[in-house]
Amino acid sequence: MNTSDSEADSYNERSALVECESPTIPSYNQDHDMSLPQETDTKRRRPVSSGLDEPGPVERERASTPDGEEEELTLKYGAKHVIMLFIPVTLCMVVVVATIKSVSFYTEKTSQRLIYTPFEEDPNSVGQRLLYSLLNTMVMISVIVVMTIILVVLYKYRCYKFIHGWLILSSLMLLFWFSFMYLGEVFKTYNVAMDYPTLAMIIWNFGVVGMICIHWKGPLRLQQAYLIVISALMALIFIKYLPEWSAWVILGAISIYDLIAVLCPKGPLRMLVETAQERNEPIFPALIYSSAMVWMVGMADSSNPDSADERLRNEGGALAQEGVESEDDAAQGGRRRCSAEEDLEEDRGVKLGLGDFIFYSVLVGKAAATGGDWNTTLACFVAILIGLCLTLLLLAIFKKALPALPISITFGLVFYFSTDNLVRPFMDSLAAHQYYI
Amino acid sequence: MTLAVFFGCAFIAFGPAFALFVFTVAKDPLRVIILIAGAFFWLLSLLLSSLVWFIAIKASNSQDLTLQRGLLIFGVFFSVLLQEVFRFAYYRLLRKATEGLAAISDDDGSAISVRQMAYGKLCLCSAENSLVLLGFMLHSGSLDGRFDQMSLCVSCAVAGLGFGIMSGAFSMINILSDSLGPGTVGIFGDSQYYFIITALMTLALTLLHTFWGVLFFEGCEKSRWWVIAAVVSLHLLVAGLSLLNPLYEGSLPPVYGITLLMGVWAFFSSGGSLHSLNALCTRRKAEGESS
Repeated sequence: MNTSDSEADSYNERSALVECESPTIPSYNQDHDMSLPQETDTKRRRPVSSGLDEPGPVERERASTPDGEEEELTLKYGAKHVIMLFIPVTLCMVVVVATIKSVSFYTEKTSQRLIYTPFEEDPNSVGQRLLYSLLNTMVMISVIVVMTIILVVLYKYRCYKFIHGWLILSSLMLLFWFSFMYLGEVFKTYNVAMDYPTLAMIIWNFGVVGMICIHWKGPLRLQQAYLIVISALMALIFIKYLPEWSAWVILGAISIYDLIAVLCPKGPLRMLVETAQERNEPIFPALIYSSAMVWMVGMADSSNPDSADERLRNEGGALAQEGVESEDDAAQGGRRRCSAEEDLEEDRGVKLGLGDFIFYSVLVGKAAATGGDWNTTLACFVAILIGLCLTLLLLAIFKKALPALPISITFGLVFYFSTDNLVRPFMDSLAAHQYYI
Repeated sequence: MTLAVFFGCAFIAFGPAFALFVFTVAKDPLRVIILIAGAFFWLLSLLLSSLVWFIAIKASNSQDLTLQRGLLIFGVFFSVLLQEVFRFAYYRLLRKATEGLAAISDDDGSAISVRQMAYGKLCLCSAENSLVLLGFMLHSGSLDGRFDQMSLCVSCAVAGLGFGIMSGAFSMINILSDSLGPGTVGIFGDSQYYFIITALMTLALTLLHTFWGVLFFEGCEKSRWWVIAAVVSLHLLVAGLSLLNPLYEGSLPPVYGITLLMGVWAFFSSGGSLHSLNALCTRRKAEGESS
């Protein structure tokens, strides 16, 4: 089955758009955020970028504490936020690896490919394979760039309905069609007999609840669970349909692109964000994973439920989306709790784009798929977590939006290739003789 | 090979490490990060030593089996030395981080005793004395009340645990996944006890890495170089004992003896004493009586 264009498109967009911090507006301006709910939404939007994004995430708002205390609180909360991201990333990777190891469908190579990787790799010739994988990568990245530009143009000319419809269509496809496929393959693997009416009921419920949770309101945990499932499904599709070498080159290329797009002043994403800020309105809903539980400190603006609701709605709309395909949308599920206590800090938690989840899982899933070695998978897993940790550390130091992909993917790729080629023979020899190091 | 073997070996090898993780590390996000960073450092050391071994293998005659075996033994010892180097590197990193963290919380100072007591109570719930010992060891630094010393002491044990978990996982996971599949162990004349011995050695190594972590860091802190030398030489000794390996009587009991010795040494080195152990037991009794 070929994946639909819209999905891949929106996906590409999402991943393509990387959020860059506009130089004029600081990424966190806690006091500023506190006072203006609208701005907060904008700011929150900022870090998101397409999956490649960066964790602009750490949105800690400290109301009016002086800088020294802010530093302390930053470090204190930093570890908590890192863990709040470790857990969902780990869960997504676990789901993908478990599926890859048990359901053989996702590792069977078919002749079908995504239309974005049109060149078929010939396993017999190394040079040709390399060339074709590079060409596939160039095609994919250019598709992503084009999609991003189209999105920015659409946004500039205020074609909101089009964008919203597109995003909803993508997430519909992911929640219904891909999960149906997935369930079908799982049933085949475990030889479970299932009738169509029951299946229809299951898929219908799953899909509708997912649409509601993601695009509208829902319990935070449920929304997080759906986002993780969606990322896992998307990653599985990529693992199946991307040709072997192309997948690795694409991973590398996308992290380089992410780096360039977030840190260079001329990216389409940056323009998108700046436009949104100029208009002072939220960007369309995107899929951003948020671990937030927000407590409102007693502020004149936010202590009344109206503004709180408005913030909720805006925030749902706002997160910058970047071409998420099915994932899009965001409705960030941050649930808000209003509290009258002056001392409570706002802890919006951390946000990470779904594209990041997807690419991390693609890397670990491919490590699990190629070869029966668990050490490689484990090494990639640790490498990605450490990369994420370093990224969040850099974020806390520089306090501006950063891409989440480059460091983790670099570590992951280095560890994958080195573990597969160097460590595996060593550990196998040691295990054969039962030597311990 | 059955599910029984799989679960048995998995629990033997990873049970105590997992329990340590759940009771000591999982509560504090910073410790989880230290654990994973420890695992990463171990992985780096393994990577570099595999690289050296691989180059040696490729540069040598692959038909000569004794040479290959010799190179493997060289690889083992080189890897041990490199692990200790990376342990030292991690110690330096943690030291710097702790100095930064120490600036932060003095409100944690008051929380220490509460935590310690909470931990003590938690220990009462868990039936395992080894956990009590280790947990007490981890918190014993807090008896001084100084935040940075406590955090470094805890970090060292957690770092050691990270090393141990990663080392154990790399030794054990492939074997566990093979044990789920069909086959007969030792059908060609090798030992039938392959899986269980592997699991036991993995357990010993995990605990050893934890204890060595504590001792190594204490040694570096107090500049007692003989402690560091002892840790390195004991690690080399354990690796050397494993070279005896199909002769399991020669490798397993001595390794466990060393583990026990290291445990006791680490306990006393991190500030525990018979008195504190006694206090814990009487607190347990008092707890038992009052409840």
